[in-house]
Amino acid sequence: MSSEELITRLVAELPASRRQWPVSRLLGAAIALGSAVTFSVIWFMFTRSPHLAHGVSTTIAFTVVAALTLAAGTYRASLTLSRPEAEANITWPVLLAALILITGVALELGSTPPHLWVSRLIGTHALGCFISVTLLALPILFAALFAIRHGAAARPTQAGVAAGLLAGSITGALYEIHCPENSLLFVAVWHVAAIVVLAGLGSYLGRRLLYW
Amino acid sequence: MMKDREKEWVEFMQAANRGCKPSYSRLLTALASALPPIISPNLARLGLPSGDTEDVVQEVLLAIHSKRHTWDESRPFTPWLRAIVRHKVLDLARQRYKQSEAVIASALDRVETTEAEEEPQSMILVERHVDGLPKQQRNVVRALVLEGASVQETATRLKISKNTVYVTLHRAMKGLVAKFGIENE
Repeated sequence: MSSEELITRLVAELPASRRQWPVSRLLGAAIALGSAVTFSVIWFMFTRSPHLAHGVSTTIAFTVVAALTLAAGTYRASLTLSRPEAEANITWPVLLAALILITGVALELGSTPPHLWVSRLIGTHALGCFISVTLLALPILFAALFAIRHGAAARPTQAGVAAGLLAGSITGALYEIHCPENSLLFVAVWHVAAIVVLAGLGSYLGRRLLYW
Repeated sequence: MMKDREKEWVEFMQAANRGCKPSYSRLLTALASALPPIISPNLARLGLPSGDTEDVVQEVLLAIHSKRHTWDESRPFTPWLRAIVRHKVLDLARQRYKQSEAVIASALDRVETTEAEEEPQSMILVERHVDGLPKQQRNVVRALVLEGASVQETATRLKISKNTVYVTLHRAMKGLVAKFGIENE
């Protein structure tokens, strides 16, 4: 097909007025839907956290604030990276979230006798929490990748990492509804490990799925 | 050179977003002649023949078409266009690189095999490659080529417009030619 023919076809394909959904709206809807799925699974299939009954503990507050900081930053980055000409930096949200967590962990270590540190770190549900957070984040990860795919990411690996961090951080916050461990040290190790795995999975899937 | 036409292209693109076909046609035609001088030096830098220019131009036009919603009307058009051109040039370079690797691998295979193998029948080959295409392309090629349906029938059956059938076929053929290129070399 010559370029002239191709142009004729493409022009004929142009819809009369209906604009395509902008990526921003699709990403918002996709994240809302994915999060709703993850929330429902935690709400209906997991037990309620025993600590939540006593109000918001320091652990829960620090976890949720750090997670939402990371989520906000990576949401913005995902949106930016779905445009072909965009440059986005996910270093700042990651650093900021890490700083919040580290502050919380330092406070916790200061108020806990050292011989309890290891037992707090390992808790009783380490592997379960790690696996749960990883799996529970998948609906959000796939929703985010689907929305970014609608865009045109010139840096698919980076966009995938952003999507993985976004999915992991939202799930990390939602998981506090269930998380039986009341230790930020625990969260900083096992939830963060899950988020790192999700970032890796995101980069792998991004390279493969965000092709255009 | 691209900067001078930024304003004109932005206007065309905005009009196209409101369904103005003549503006869209003028934009794509203008781009079809403005892009080759930008693309071929880039290809040359990557060691690719300038004969690939037309291919990249068409890929860029297709990408502008299918990804036009990613251009934000409040942002300049040229950086968006440049990014798409860059992406498509690199994409072609990657494809060519993979192909040359495959050619070398298949040449090595032939060196190692002493006995000639039976040539697979071309129709089986086609079927196998068609299976590897993306879903929409696969459906269109199956309907048109392997089942012999008309363009109109195909469009009705797949619930897409006739033009979409043509554009999809165009993409599929490109993909198939690229794959056959590897096998036959």
